Amino acid sequence: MARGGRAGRKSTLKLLGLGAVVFALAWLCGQLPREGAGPASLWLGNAVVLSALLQSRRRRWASLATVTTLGAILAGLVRGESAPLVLAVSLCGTLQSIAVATVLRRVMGGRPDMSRVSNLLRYAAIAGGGAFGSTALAALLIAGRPEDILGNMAVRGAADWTALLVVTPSLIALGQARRRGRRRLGERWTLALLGATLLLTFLPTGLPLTFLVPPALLLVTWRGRLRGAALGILLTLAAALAGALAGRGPFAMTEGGVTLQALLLQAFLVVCFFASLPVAAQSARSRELQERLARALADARDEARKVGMAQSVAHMGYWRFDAATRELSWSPEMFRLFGLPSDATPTTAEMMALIHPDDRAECRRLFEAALLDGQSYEQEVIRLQPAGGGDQYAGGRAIVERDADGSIAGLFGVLFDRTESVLRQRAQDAAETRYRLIAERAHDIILRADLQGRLLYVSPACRALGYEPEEVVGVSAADFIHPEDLPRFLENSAQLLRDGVAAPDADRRHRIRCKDGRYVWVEGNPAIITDDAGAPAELLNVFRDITVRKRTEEELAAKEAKLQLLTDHAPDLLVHIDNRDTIVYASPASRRFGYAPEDLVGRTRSELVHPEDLERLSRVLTATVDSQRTAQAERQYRIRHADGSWVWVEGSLSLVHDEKGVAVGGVSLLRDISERRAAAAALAESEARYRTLADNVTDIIVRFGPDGLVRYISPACRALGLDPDEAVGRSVLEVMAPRQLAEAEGLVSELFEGAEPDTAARRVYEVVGPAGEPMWFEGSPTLVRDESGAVVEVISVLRDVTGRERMEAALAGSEARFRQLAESANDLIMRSDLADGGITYISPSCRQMTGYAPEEVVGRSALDFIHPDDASFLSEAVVAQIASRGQETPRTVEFRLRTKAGAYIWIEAKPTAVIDPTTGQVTAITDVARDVTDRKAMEAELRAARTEAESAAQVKSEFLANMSHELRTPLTSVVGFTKLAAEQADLSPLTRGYIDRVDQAGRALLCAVNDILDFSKLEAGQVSFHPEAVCLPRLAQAALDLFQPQAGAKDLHLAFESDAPADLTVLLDPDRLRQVLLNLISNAVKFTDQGGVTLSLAYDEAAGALHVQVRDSGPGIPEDRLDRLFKRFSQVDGSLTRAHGGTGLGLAICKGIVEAQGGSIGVTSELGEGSVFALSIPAPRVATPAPAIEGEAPANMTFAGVRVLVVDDHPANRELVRLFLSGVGAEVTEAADGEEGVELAGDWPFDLILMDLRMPRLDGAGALARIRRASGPNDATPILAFTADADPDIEQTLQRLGFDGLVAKPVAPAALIAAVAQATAFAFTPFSQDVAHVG
Amino acid sequence: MSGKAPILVADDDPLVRELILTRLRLAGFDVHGARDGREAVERARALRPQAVVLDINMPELDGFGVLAALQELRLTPATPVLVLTARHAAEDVRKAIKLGAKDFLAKPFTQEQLMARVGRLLRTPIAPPPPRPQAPQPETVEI
Repeated sequence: MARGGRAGRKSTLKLLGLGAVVFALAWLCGQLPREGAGPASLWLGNAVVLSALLQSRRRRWASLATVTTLGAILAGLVRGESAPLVLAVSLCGTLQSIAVATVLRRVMGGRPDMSRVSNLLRYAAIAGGGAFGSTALAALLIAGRPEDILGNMAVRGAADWTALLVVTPSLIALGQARRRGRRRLGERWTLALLGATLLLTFLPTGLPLTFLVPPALLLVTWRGRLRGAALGILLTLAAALAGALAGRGPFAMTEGGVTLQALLLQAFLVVCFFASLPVAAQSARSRELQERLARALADARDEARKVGMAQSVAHMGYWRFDAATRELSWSPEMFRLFGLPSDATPTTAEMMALIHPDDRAECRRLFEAALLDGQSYEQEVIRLQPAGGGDQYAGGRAIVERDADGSIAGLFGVLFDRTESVLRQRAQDAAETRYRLIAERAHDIILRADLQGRLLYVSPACRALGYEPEEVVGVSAADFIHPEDLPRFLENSAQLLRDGVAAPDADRRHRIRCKDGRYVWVEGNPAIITDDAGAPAELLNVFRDITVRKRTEEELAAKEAKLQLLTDHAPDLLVHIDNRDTIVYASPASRRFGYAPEDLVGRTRSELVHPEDLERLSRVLTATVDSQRTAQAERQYRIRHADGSWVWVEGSLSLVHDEKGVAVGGVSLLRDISERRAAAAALAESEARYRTLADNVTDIIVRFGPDGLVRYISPACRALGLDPDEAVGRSVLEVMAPRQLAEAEGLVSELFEGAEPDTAARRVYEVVGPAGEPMWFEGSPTLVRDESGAVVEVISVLRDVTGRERMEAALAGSEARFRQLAESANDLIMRSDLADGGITYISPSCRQMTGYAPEEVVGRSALDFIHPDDASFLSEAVVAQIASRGQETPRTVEFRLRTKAGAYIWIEAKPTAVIDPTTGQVTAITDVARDVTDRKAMEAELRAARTEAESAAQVKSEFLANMSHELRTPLTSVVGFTKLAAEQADLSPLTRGYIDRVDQAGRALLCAVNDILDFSKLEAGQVSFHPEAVCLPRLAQAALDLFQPQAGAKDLHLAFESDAPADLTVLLDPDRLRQVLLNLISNAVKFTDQGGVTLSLAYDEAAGALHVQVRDSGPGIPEDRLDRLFKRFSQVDGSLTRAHGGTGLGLAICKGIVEAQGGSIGVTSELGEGSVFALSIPAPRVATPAPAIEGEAPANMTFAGVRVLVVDDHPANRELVRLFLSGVGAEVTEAADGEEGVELAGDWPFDLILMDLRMPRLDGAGALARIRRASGPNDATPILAFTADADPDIEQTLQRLGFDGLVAKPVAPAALIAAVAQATAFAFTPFSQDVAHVG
Repeated sequence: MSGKAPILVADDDPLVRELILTRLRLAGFDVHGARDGREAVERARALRPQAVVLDINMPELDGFGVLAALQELRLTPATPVLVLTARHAAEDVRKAIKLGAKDFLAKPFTQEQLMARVGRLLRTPIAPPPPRPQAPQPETVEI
């Protein structure tokens, strides 16, 4: 679009430019001298318009015509000519231009080519017609003034025509030339010469040098060609115009008026036109023809060269025989073919002599016949006899040339070298002959067939089948194949055709029919014969008679099949091994071992045989092989089952020998004997197990025969003092106690008579022990019978029951004693047998305790009488006893027991398991139960009371805490705002007094509330203490001073005594101490009416304890009340509370506070004399920083609330810093290395960090970097280096590392405190303050 | 001295809040109060304060909630926050620090302590209140 727009703009500009040119020319031509209102001597407008039209597309003509017409009209009007005339002339001019352009286009087609003379002449005629036609038309239009027009018609037409002749072709030629080429050098200087000539001609007014112009113009035309001519003629026109305008030049000299001058000028210009442009056109034309000729010649030369090359590449030459001259001409290739030098063309006879005599006559005959009859001819092969010797063959063709009247002009022939193809054909023929000979003499039948299988050739060997080769050629090969083998044969053929080669593994054996009808087995060996293009052309096959081989194979296969049947179905695995121990065959029985037969093939013995058996097996096998026996070697070993388990096999190997008797392998027969082996192993194991059992049981196992003699006795018989080996062969009765001997004898004989022993009844035998003592054995005999059922042996198991027997005897005595005891006890004694599940015995006290008679209870479960809620207590205790088999200490359980009256009594019992000493089993539970109803009732009461008290206390504490908090919050505001009010500068003294009162009252109230809160916390054990370094005397004095107003009011004397140094600083919670002191002093002042109150302070350096006394001269406290004094909510006298106010908590709080810090508080009093409250608190002394920094008034300096982190790996350094800084109120936190320092600094804001430089894990610089990097609470906290480094540059180094300062080690208190003060100055203006915290 | 941006004081107790506001106003700061956590967050968002004094125990949204919200608004850690905690509530302090607070002050505190902490917060010393014309009892009273 943009481009279109731009092009549009450009063309519009061009159009306007053209209009302007037409306007300018029309105006210029109007200025030319003329006769009155007569026509101009030159009319250039139309010529320019015409050239523009001719060089534009037709669709632009309308706009062109419009613009140029307007330009011409405008020029005429400007010139002041009459409007109708201007209009008519201009319109006619435009019409003329369009008409001429249309005709020219029609006649010459498109843009006329001005380089053709004929075009120029035609143009001159058409332009002339147009010019004069239009002039005539204009004359008709302005017929009003015919004399003006008609008189000058010739001049006007000539003016127009001249311009059309001179300007338009020149402009078109210029346009053409611009399109064609560059400016030539000669053009410039000839143009310059022309310019000079024109100057010479038109500048002077004296000499008519017009004749000089045409030669100059010719020179320009000669050098500058068409463009030069065009430029030259335009230049001439311009010069003539200029001359005419200026009234100079040869024409101005002409006498005879303006019209004549105009005609002369026009004639001059026409002559100039004809002297230049047509000449230039003609010369351009001839130059063009010359160039075309030169190109054609070059093409022809090139063509000839290519023909020569073609000849030499194709080994082909041509000759020509001219019938008229009888001369022969040869192309260069002919000379090479005949081996002749190329300088002399031979005659026809000489040429014939160079042809081999065999072909010469024929050649001559054809040559002469062609000359006579005009017959062209062709010869396939001509044998040549080249001059240099050797064989040369060529093919030839000749045609007859006829001249215009049809008579024979000559012969033209070509001869091409065929030596190579002739020699190749000969070699081929020879080879075929040789192969045919081989085929004819071979025993195998060689046959060729076409692709459809029809036989093309069959070698004479087919006579073996009874056929003559001739009778089978043409028959399909398939006709001879046995019908059963035919599909295979056809398939093989198809495959061969498909793949191009025979499949190597295909079975190509088949039967073919002989002439007498029988079949013979042949094996084919087919191949494809391809044509030159590689496509299959024929099939070749060689058949070999394999009947004999086939028969042998079949017999072998039958034998193998039988063998296979045998091996396939044999349960044993048959393995054929070669002499490298590799399996080459395995029978299908391999599946018993989890393998497919083919899996085993290729494996070696070591892969299959168990590693433990391998060596043994190898040894046996080597021995077998060495002995060269075919004999079998039997052995058992394990082989690996496919599933990884091992299977026992029994193998036998038969060696296989080759013809020379060398063992080449073996056949191994493997039988799975795993079951057999397992059975044997199980038997052995079972025997061993029973033997072990018998040998190890504690019971005596004895076997004896009918004679009563021992056959086996287990080692346990040693308990009887018998040796098991010696005992064998002796009578079983030997050990019997004499009093049972007869019975035993009877028993033995009874057993051997076949009486089955009563297994249920255990028989106990008394025997004589090793030391002659009686022992008891319990026996259970088993009879061993033979097949006939007769008892042959008795096996008896004898168990030593001596212990049990003895215990039973002892128990009988014991029980009698215990029963007596139980019967007389107050406690309830009972026994429950587990077997029965119920109470088996209960002591008679049962009646008093429960109201039940013992016999009502026996047989029932104890649980029947127990309160359902408690039953589980008892049963759990019983279960625990049973579970631990009495090992666990019996638990004491309490439960409620229902009496006969239905009431419940509390029982304490201790169920205890009774253990059967022989079995170790729990047989019964005994229990001694006691009635604890009274005790239980008491306990319950106590518990209830305590719970009540505790909850009441809890409720009260919470209430107090809540109340205190609710009161405190507004109170702090009261105090805070009072302070704000007090700060107002413009208060009247009275107001200030009031405000101070409010302040005091507020603080007192706060104090009371704090009391309550503290006490409730103390009671709840929630108080924590925060020891700080405290200057004790100062604190005490300040506390005492607070009461000055009160004391003053009562005229009491307040005194402070201290034997401690004035700057004694100890570590103590100052708030708590102050609280205690205020309380004691307050009490003292409150209850004393005359005399005074003394606060005395003492410090025990050795014990590190603080002793404080508050003495008053009050009424004293009665001795019996002293102990109640420190209890909560108590005052000595209830009435005093009312009189003196107070919470009554004060002393209780004091006691709580002091004791919670490990101190003690007490009071001594004498009625009428006064009281002394004394307290002691452990308070370690800390360094007093005061003297060290005295010069800087440090005593007034406090860092209360300043948080300092000291990071140092030496505990001593940290301790020192802590001492110094906590002495001035700072809170000190310690870290043992950089890591810990970074960690602490990450979650707690500090106001200052002291950082040692050298530390394990993370040094000071590293820690600093990390603290600064983290945007934690300490990213801007001042960090001071804490170092002993004495390097003079240390400060710079530290500054570079980012430290804010330096504290040198060893620590000087003054320096430390100064550094801290400086580092924290930005926030903590050191106030000079005597801290008087309240509450 | 007068800060460019205001200081925001968030405490649900009107008296305590007013006291702190008055103190800071007297020290020349432009101060704004917030009655609860929610209001504190809103005002902080609108005011872009140069520092925040923040009570931990507040209704609606407690101080931890406010700290979390300030983090969400990306006001912290650029805006230093001083949290007011109960006395000996070290765990509260650690939690607040984790949530972006820069410093803490345990209640009840003296006015001097408050000014010292605000001074540290702004890294600018704040002049102590003008001494009373007559100071019979130089003292510090907890608020």
